[in-house]
Amino acid sequence: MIAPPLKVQNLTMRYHQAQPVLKSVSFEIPQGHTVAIIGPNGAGKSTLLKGVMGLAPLVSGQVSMFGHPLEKNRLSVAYVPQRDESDWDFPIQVMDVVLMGRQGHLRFWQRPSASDRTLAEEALNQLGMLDYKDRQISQLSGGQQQRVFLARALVQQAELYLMDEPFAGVDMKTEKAIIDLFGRLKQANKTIVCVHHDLNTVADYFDWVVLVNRGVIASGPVNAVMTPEKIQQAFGGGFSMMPSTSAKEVKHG
Amino acid sequence: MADWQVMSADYWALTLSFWQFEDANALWVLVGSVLLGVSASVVGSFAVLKRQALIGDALAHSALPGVMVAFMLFHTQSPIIMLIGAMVSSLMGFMLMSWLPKNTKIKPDAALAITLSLFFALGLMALSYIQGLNVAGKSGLDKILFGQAAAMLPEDLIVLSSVALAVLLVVGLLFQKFRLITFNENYARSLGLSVSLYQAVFACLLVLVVVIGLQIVGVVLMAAVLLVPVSAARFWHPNLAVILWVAAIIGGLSGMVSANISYLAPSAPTGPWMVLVLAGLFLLSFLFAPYQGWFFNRIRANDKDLTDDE
Repeated sequence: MIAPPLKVQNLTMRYHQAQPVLKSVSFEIPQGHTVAIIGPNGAGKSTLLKGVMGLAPLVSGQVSMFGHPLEKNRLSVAYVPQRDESDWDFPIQVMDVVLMGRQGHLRFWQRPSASDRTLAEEALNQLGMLDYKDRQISQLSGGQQQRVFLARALVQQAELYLMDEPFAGVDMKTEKAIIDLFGRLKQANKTIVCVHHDLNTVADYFDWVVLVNRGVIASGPVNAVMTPEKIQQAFGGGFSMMPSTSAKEVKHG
Repeated sequence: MADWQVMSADYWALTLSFWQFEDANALWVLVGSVLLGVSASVVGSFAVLKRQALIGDALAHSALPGVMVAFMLFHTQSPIIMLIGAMVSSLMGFMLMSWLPKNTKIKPDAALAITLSLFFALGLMALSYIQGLNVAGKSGLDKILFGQAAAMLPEDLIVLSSVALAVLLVVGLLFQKFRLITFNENYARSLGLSVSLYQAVFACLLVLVVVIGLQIVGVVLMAAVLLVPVSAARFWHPNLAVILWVAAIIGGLSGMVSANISYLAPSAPTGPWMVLVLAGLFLLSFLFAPYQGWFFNRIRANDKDLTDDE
């Protein structure tokens, strides 16, 4: 049997001297699935993703991707940071942002080649953003910004995609573009892991769930994990499935 | 006779002779000032975009004690010795202002201000100590406060020009990586780039341009040459590569004008002139640059109103 795309063992993380944000987190993701990491605010979802990517320090624990540590697998893993962690006033055009996804393949002095550009155009096309390739990123709507980030991850031609809240605050058109992209990636047997915050859409977008609150509450296929008891356990008492407006909020553009 | 009187009397004759390059030393000063303006504005652009605009200011102030200590040790103002002294203390300043926020509750802005004033105070004390000493070759050390291009010797300018060219070469080579890291540091890390190494290289470039700028711009005003060109250039174009070129031209122009002025008035400090020229170019950009300048923005706004009315 081949090694799983992502295996996390006994991961513990903390910020400063406070209580651990995450304690002894262990789970395994099988290949070719679309996975949601869900949990209440402050449960450590984004922190978990950063820890997995080596962007935040681990107190202890091990992360392996396809059976190896991340350093040996950089080119097979693509990370999509949270949209609002970036400076969207930065003087750069859409095409140049997407081409950044090729930088892992280039030596320190190399510039993107014609074939890199073709890849970038294909990726933008898949996300319906080709017409915007010469736009300034400051002129994009939130949803368009998200699609640019996804195109950038796509040109990395990775096997495993780790995304931090790709559906947060995007318009309907972007939502559909992301779902279509997930479908194509899944068909190509790629694995997608997303931090997600809207419980109501989990079953529509994903087929596997890791339920987190400072530790893993449950991990497995959607039907097995999204039971009222387990969700109650993760989100605390009094929580009921309410239609959330935040994810469906339609932004301009 | 005061400098300004010279300027009003023989201004045109002197300017003409300057631009005919009759004086070899003046030509050197011109080349050095332009190269400094260009390299400082290009490196400064990345610092501004990273929201670390004032680091250059602190680095320049931190260089002062190093220059003074180097002089006390070697009793010479040879450019290599001065450069090494300045670099060592600038790097120490850089380490102090990075160390403080990581290991104490002091925030980065306070750490920067503490470092700047501490090093500057030490440098001023060393300077006044040296001025009380009875050693040869100490004259002109105080010129590094406000810069004096005319006092530079060909050997100073050869060092300055080589460093400036080397800095520009490195930025040209690493442009793509610097842009990526400035825009999205965490994403760059996720690609497996050695972000810390690139950041260390960039810090060295920043220290180098600051240190070679001391004799022309001076410790006190160095930051302006790093910050003003890119701030003006953003009115001209939305794309970083073009912004860097425009900033380089603005920085180069300011170097050119200040070299000319230091030829006309050799004893006047160059730094303030350079900053004034930069301020003028900033104002022009703010008003008349085609991309985001006030004038064209107004015209576009009017056009839009007209089409809205139809």
